[in-house]
Amino acid sequence: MLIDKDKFQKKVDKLDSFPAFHGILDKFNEMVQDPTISMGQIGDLISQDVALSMKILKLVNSAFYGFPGRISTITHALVLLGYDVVKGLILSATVFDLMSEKWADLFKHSLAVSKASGLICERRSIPDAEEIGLAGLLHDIGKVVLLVEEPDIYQKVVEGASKRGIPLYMAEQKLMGFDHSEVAGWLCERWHLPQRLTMPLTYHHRPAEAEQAAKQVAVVFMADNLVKALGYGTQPGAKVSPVPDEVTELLQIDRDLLAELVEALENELEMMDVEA
Amino acid sequence: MRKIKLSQAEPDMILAKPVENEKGIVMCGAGTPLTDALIERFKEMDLESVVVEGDEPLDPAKVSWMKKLIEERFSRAKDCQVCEDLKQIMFERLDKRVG
Repeated sequence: MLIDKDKFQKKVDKLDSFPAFHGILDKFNEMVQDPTISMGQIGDLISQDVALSMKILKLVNSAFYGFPGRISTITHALVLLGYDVVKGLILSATVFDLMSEKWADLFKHSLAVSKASGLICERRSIPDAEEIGLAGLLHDIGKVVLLVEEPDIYQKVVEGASKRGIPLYMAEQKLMGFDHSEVAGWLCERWHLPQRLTMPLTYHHRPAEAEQAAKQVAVVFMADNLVKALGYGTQPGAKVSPVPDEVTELLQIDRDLLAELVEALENELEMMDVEA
Repeated sequence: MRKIKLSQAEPDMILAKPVENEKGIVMCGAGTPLTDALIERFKEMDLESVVVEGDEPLDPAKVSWMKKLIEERFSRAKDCQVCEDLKQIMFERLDKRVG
């Protein structure tokens, strides 16, 4: 195996070097659990990091969260979106910096999956669309960690998958013995993210195996699949996965829904390209 | 919608996004049909591109090439009805764009 799974898992557990861990997240977790600390004080903590706050507000106010142009402070974001979504946004903001710099296509793909997740939630009246959209945004976060922590080896794995025309997660399993969705699962544990976020990140390639949050997992799986079908920001070897019956039933997928989703998603993606 | 160079703009194309001047003031709203006079005015404003409604027409050779790429993306999902439907929907959309 090119990477030792146990060693890598331990590394992820102690990821101090990863930019997402410049302390603010641990402090945020601590403060959220302290009943004497108000939302305003937590908002102030994040606001001290101006660059981070700007990034979070930018993410919040992009159409992904359905409140375009209306959220101007971190405290306001906390009130509207809740702690878990803001926690995820702190991560996204830092991770996305890395992603847009090192892997622009993955960044595009992640934004598109977030959009597609939101569209599925909207069409099927699934609640907590913001949180599921966030799961869509973060679903490939394991890839970023692999690229940052093992750049040379992981680059080879990515190139190998493209050359042989096989999905990246299959190449990862073959060459490393684990894949990026497992890495995401370890990270979620390290960050104490709720199951509603952990499950879709961990099971977006094998939705039928998720024991909890089945609907969230199904949405992110299907969103990822749609974006792959459209070939938006995906690896050359990326393939559409067969949709398990569980997912079809949970989301009541039929031809009409697919046609609506393809049309809406193509429009959204064109808009993204136009604005880019 | 698609973004086109101002030199490609033609009368009767519909603006899909508003045109703003350098101060960010909307000069022309989304939904406005372009006219020769408007295009002339945009040129005077040094506008480089506009976003108009509708997809770019495709020639048949490009459509068959795109279909081949799609087939390739669906190569691992041959026995899945949902995927088959999805692929057909994408093919139908491409067929409509043959210009």
